[in-house]
Amino acid sequence: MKESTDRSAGPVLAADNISVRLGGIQILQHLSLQVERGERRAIVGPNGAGKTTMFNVLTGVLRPQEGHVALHGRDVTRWGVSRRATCGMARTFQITNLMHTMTVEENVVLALAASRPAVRRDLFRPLRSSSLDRPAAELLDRWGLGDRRHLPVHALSYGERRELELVLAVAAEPDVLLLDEPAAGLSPSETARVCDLVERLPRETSIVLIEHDLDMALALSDTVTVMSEGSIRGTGSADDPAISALVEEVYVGAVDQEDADVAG
Amino acid sequence: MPRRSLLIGVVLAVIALVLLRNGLSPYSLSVWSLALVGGGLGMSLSLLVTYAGLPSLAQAAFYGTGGYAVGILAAKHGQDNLWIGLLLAALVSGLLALVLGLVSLRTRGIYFQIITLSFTAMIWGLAVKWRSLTGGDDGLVGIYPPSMAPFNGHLVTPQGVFTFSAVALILICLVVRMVRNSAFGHVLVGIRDSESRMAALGYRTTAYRLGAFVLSGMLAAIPGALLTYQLQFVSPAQLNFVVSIQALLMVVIGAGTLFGPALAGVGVIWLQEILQRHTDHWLLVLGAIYIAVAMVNPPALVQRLRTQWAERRTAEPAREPDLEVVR
Repeated sequence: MKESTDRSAGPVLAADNISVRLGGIQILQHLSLQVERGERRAIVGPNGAGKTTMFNVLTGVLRPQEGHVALHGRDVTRWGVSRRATCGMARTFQITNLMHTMTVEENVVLALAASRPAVRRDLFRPLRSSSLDRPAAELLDRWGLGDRRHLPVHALSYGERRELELVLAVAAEPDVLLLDEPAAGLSPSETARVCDLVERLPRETSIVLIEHDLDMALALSDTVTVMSEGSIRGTGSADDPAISALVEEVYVGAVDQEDADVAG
Repeated sequence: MPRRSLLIGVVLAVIALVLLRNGLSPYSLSVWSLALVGGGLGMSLSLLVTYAGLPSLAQAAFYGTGGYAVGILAAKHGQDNLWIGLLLAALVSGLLALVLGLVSLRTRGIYFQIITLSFTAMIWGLAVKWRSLTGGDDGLVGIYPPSMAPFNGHLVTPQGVFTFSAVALILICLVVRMVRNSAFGHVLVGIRDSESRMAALGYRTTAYRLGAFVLSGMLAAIPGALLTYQLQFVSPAQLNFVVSIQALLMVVIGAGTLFGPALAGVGVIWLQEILQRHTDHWLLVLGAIYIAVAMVNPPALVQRLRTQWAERRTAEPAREPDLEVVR
């Protein structure tokens, strides 16, 4: 169920002057970010930089104390998670977050049903015989999980679960997709598969990607935003040497800080 | 569960019920009728606990409110039509569930249980104190067997009461099965598994939970009303929190299977009635049995059996039971 949205002009997703304090600690400070239509944006920065908190603000899990979030130019700061999702926002989670007692296919059917009012109107009709079996199978085939369709999620390998996370997020054909460390904990070959999946997403989908693996972040994105200590240090093209220098600075700086903590 | 085995199951259940109906003494029939009502109570809560993942302790409130609704209707207003009674019971309990759901569903886990338990205690207190409406501690008398109009006769013979209770239980089971297999039921299970994921997909998770809560409250009102009609009496004991815990127990013994809570409900109440008849220490015996059941961990047992069964047939891993397996 997509609400009518103005997709003509302006950034798809914009955060303006966001500040978040949790338990007396300033997590985000006056943070602003704009993502254009079709843009591939990577967010890099050391642990504790506030990347996941920013995701939670963008998706509606967390209300910021200050600032606004706009989706398709509309102020959605006070909207809940599900309403933002129905307006074209999708995400994956850093920690695998699937409907673990269901089969792969049932997971996908639920993801598809979320965006189809016709199915939600037939709430008390059996889901199994719904019109979504075929689209679900097609989706799984397209993303290479077709032969896993009837397996319960708990029988999938970790890498396959990460792939299913992605499939669920793209099922509703979102306008903007937020990926929270999609390759965390994966082997190099599994990481390559996930990269391949992300690259095959429709070109008009905007992607915001949190990633520690710098090579992967650079390979998948046009623009890189560098964060540390709750604020944005800089944004630039992925091949800009100034950005590489900045990345090195925040990571190495963080390492120095940790060393100092240990020494202290 | 495929359609064919469901059909076989219903046919077997009907045969068993017909045999019981014709073979049992009137006294035994009345015991079995109470047991069938217990099955309805367990089944109504199963919808909430097993599929929506909400271990509510308010089921007695809805069960008892259903009982009081028909009791007050019959004793105070002289309205003795069975259908009007059942409808009113479901509506009143549904409304109550809506109010409680709006408050309690903002919380999770132990806090949700405390709120639902407190609510049951409040309704119990209301039933004790509002003497002019409820008869207080003494309960309500003057409830006579209801009329089945537009059908002939009254719900009065032990056979009739037994048959009606059995049909009601089967219908409640079928409603829960329909919900489980529906899109709504899958969304509920999805929310139980991962609320944050379902919200991120665009589901208004609290609205779905509220829907399940209201539906479960309405279903509980039906056996509650039938109990009042059977006993021709309703008292605060019907909405005591112990009944809530008993209902939860039925769901646990039901082990996350679809119709398990119905069978468990019938078994628990039947056993209770029989023990009460034979020994003064029935609570002691019942308590020991419950502890033994909890030690067995019924969902884990079901999963083990299912896994063995699945391994024998295919290489595919078995489905987990719907109720969470505590390892």
